[in-house]
Amino acid sequence: MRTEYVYKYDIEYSSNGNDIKSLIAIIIGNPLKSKSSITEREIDILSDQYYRSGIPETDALYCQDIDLIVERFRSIDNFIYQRLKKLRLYDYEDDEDENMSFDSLLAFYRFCLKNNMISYPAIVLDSNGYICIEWYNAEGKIVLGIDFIKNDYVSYAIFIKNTNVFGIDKLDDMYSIIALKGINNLFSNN
Amino acid sequence: MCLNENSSIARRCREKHIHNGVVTSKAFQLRQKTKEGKPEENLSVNWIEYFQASESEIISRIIKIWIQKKLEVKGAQLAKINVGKMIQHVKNETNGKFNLLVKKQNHKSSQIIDESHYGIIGFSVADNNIIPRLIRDIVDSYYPCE
Repeated sequence: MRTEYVYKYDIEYSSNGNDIKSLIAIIIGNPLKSKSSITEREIDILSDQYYRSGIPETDALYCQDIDLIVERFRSIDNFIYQRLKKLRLYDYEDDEDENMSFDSLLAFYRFCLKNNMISYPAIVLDSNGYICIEWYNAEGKIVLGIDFIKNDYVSYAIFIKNTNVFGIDKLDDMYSIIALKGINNLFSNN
Repeated sequence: MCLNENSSIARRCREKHIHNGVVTSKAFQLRQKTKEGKPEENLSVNWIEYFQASESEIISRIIKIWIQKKLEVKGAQLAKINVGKMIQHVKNETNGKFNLLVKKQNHKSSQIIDESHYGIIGFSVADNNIIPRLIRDIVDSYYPCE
């Protein structure tokens, strides 16, 4: 059912050349395209075009785009995919909080394309609709928390005895801080 | 009126902030935007010792209040926190930068009188990256709300 929809979406907008909607359809919607064939550049184009497209967050298209990206997780990691689908259900049930943020989901998608989870984090949405992930140690205390906020920035917190680190940085800059702190047992770069 | 360090408080942790049975720090985060459109200024909790009853009775009475207030409790957990432990932990982990207090809150709803309603103050939404995670790590115990 989902594939049929995406296909229609593709046809509907493919005549628009480099229009963002066709890019989403090409990159996200093509069921034949495997994870490894999606390049970083394509994702960069997608996010850049999306930001400039000015599609309002309340637009119906926006909601459909969210689900298209959630679908892409199916081929990356089934555990994360199932969790995101569950979180999308909360969007419909819960009117207290913001719905899942497109920007946040896209940033998380890029994170998952680039990294393999060695141990799975807890994955939740905060009240802004941002995707937040947390890893815990054997005693159940937080070791690392990452909130995927707007424009590829992350808000993170690292808890290592006597050297807690908190900050907001570009995702790529956060990797170096995590490496400096010697956290290498949670996820690995592809 | 603020609660003393021997007191205990209960926080409702919603299902959406729980993953695989693990309550995440998002359950202790201030909202960026309340229904009034303003950032939340205190973290809602209930004072446990307000109720003079057995622990199980207290838990069920607090959950009943939440239901009366039409707060979602399906799949939620009640987190029990010792006030003194929370204040000390946050102070230690932030080099004394944050001094939390648990202060009595006014009734927002005229229909439901909740004298056990308190709020954790001493941090703002700008500190959501730090404080909720520190509070989450010193929870004494969790109780299912169903």
